[in-house]
Amino acid sequence: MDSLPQKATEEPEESPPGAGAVLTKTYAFVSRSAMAILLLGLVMALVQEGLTGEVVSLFDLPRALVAFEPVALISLGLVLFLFGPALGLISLIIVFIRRRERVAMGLAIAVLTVIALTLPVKVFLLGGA
Amino acid sequence: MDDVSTLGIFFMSMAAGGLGSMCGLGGGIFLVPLFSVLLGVPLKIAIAASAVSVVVNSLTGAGIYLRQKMVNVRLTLALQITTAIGALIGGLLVVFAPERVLQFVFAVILYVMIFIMLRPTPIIEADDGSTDPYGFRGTYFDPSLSETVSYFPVRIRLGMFLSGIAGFISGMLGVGGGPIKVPLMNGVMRLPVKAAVASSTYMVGMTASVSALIYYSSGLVDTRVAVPAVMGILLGAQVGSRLGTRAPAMLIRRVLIVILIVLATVMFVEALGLF
Repeated sequence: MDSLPQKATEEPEESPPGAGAVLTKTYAFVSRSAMAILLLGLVMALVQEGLTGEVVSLFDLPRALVAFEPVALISLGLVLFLFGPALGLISLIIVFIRRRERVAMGLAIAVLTVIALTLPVKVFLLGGA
Repeated sequence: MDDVSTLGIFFMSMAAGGLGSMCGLGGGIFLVPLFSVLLGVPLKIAIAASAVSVVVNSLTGAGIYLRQKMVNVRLTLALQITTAIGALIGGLLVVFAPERVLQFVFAVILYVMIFIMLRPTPIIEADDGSTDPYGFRGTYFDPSLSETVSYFPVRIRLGMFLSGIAGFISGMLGVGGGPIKVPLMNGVMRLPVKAAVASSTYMVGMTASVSALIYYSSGLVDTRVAVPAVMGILLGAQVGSRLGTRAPAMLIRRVLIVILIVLATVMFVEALGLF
């Protein structure tokens, strides 16, 4: 029933070498940073007025962060999570450029381009996202 | 939002995160009905919180699978190109397609995928001397077997085409592509089920991040729902992905098939207007 993969004897290798390791570190860094910021904001919010439900818009986020508003920290934590996959792709592209792996680099750039285009295309065609 | 609802969101998200990352489904497909039907969260708010949770689930779960070297990075990038294009087109055309027709199509595709997964699949020789110009060959250590597993994906072009279809339908229905991706990679492209689950867990985050950012910029992310959901799914994904790496492949496969049958049947019944 299973796909019955062949059992190999050699040591496992990443595909391509280095990419998985860098991606692991990027994801771990993003997840931990986002969670720490979100928790800090949550504790501050609970001490003050509790969660109100709203998030700070991307454009207003720098100002709210400078003001050290709890909701701004929560919003930053969420936004960091949401940009995590894109940051992972950027880290992959850097690895592939360093290793001169053109095919993999092309694939990663193509994925990042499509993902980056999705947001403006949807906003432009459907109006206001 | 009262304390009971907040706790409900937390625990439901933890369960969805565990199951989702163990089977490579993302978890969003469980969260939306749970939040909206059981807890009375408005549908759009539930969808937005679910999209955010799927990204968190992917970052956490994929991180663990990546450490175990179970994610086939190059192959996922190739499949993600057509998925993302399909999802974009599907998302733009959603207003023109009747939801019930889409649900029917989605259910039929799921049934086909289940049928493909149930068939016995031949051994793919990883070292049979065939060329691998794109580096899609994969190798990982399976703790449940205490052995290194090597595999060679097949039908790459068909897989990319079907990934585009999966992305298209997913974009139209607003659901993740995990329920189609895992059987596609395992049943059609002949990846071991653990590699398919791990690679799908990585992919769903990329797809969901775009939708989640759109929901965020539209003001649909409600912190009273999203924050407990994120925390719950983060814990669930930690447990689920560790189970996914250690549990026997046959167990994961069976759990996955049961979940897919339930999902396909619910969607089929909904498409017929009986539910």
